[in-house]
Amino acid sequence: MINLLSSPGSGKTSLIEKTVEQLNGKFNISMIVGDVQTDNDAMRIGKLNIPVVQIITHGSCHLEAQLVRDAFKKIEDEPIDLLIIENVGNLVCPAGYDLGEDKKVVLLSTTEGDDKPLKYPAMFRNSSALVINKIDLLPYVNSSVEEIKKNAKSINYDLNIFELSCKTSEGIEDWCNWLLNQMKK
Amino acid sequence: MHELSIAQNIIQIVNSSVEKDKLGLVEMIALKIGLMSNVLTDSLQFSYASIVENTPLKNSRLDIELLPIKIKCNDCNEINTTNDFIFSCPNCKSPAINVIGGDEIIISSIHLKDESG
Repeated sequence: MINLLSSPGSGKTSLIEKTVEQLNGKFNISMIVGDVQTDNDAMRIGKLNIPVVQIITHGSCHLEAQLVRDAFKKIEDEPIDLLIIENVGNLVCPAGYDLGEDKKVVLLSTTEGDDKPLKYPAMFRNSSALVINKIDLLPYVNSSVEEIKKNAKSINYDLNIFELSCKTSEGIEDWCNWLLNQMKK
Repeated sequence: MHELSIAQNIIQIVNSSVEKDKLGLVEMIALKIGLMSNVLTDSLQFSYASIVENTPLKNSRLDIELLPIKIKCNDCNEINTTNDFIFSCPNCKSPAINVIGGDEIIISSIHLKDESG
């Protein structure tokens, strides 16, 4: 079970779409997605034909274990090898709420600036992996992947870091391989 | 960050730990809060005071001790504490450290007035 965390708009749903494209058929993936409002994300993921439950938090800025447990009841009869929880887009509060996951994965896109790990240390400290998304935009933004990595490592030396683009699919394979290795554990 | 719900939780725990007719005797609840727990103590104090108004716990207060971030170095094994979010070993400078404390929220004791006087 993976708890996927990031700011709004970093590409959590896109990353899940790419991951499912790559791994579905080989593994049974299910998803629980949290948003403050709308079931837009569940509709997007639903097109991939995997079991998905939308949690609408009605204003709350993070998911809590109880919400996930209740949502899980709707898919508990499905065969599940990998359950991905897409948390509410927020780099602050979700860091403090464990959902029963095996790993927290934080996603950061290159457009957000390279000092985010220093500004939100708890999130980067508590995560096992960092996915840097939107590397296709690097020529157009001021942040550098090296700087993001340096800052992230200063908070959490053990972070597994992946650089990828959900737009071009570059780097998706490395990320999926890491997920596969986690599932073997 | 979510001090109001944390305050509510503290009150729930006090309510289930102290006999009902003795709740009015509670004068202090001692808390230990780690710096990495993201709890704002002023905000927690304010939330607590607001909720206990007009309840048997109205005369009680929170006594909060802040705990530093505790880190253990994987290279030299030294344990150190820090008040900053800097995650490297002060002894050998290694960045390979584990956080072993500093994210806790603990009710360490509940103090009641002595009934006899």
